[in-house]
Amino acid sequence: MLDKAKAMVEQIDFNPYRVPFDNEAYVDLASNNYLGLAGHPVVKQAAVAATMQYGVSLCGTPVASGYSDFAGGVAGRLAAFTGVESALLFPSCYQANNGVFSALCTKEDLIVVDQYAHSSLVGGIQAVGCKINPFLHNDCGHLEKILKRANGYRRIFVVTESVFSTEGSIAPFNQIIALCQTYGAVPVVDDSHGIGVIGKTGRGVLEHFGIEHYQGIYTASLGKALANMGGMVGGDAETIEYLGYLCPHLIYSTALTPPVLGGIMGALDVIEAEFGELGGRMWRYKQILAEAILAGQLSVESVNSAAPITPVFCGDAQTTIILCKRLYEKGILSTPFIEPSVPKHACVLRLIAGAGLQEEKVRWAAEQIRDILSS
Amino acid sequence: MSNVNENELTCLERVIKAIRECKRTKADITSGSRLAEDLDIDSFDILMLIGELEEEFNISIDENQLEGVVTVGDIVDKLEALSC
Repeated sequence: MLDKAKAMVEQIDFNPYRVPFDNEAYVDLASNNYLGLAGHPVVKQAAVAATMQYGVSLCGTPVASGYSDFAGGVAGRLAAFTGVESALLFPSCYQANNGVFSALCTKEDLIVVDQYAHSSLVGGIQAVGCKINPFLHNDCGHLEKILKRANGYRRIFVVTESVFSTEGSIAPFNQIIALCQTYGAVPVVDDSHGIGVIGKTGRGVLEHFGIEHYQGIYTASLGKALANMGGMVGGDAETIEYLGYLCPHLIYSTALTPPVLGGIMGALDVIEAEFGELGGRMWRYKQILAEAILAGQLSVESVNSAAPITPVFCGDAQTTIILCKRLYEKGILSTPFIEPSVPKHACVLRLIAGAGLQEEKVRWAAEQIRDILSS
Repeated sequence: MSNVNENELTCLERVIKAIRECKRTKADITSGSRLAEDLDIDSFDILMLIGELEEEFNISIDENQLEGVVTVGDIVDKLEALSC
């Protein structure tokens, strides 16, 4: 697969995964910096202040020297922000998604998972060695059919993402939770593209659907809208305590560093104070891009994505990479998704216009995209 | 609930029915259809297909039992070996 991709990249004379770029010269529609917080002065200052107080690293795992009251405070604040009872911090959401299943599931379980779930979830699930049954994307009818016939398992988990990162759909998570309650399954949601993005005040999927006293497992990346790095796992206090001592992906990995912890706190401060304005701008930019795609005479699927993600459905990998190149040559960064990240004939060029961009640059980029698509 | 009397369907037809539950494709599916090249069924899709086959044939199928299948006909052969 790598040889095939390398051959294609050579033929097109463009490697979208290794592009050099100057921040100022390009309009960045590739980054997951949804609210523009990566460069926000409050966030930067918070990271610096934490570094000056605690140093650049605690040089240990969270069950050894890597734990601090500061880290505990950040975890507690994230739990309150997202609406879960308790939370843990991981070095990445990839590790969180892998670790959760390894620690909580056994071979006697059944894991039912959305067919388009992120590879970090799929990898974590497959490592358990239990029965796995994917369900059709966002299809609660198919999910219920699977749950109805499931019997003889120790526990059943239903796994999905809140916002699917390539095509921008939002999972019907309220319905999924209802099905879990009916059939005694444990819901697991990865809110990486939802935290800081959806919900009236940007608190993610639980706020978006008005879910209180959530009884499942929640994970999210802290490197997208929250503009730092790391991942969180949220859930009931007992499960989180268990993971905190017995999840290898956590206890054998260096803890998140003080600048990251400070940056997360700074990001939460800004979101709580300014989400109305930042979120409004993010959605306005999404609308600008969506109108450009329509004017470029592409399908309405792109413009109807429920999240501030604008996917351009290209079909095959070559068309996707060529479009990415054309945008790059115009000074626009975008993210191509090809196999195995997406199904072979469902390649996508993804555009995210974060709130940190200037509107005139977004409008300019939209015009370039419209012209390229309609040429 | 199916409107078709399952006894009237061949094993191949029942496998195709299960595949259509997973892929929702209108493409022609025959015994010679290749799972990956013709039907875009990857290793993850196979797990969904196993679930549909288990329901259709009322049996339990381990993933290893379908190891090496390339075509729809290969699945039929494996299932018939399981006396379906």
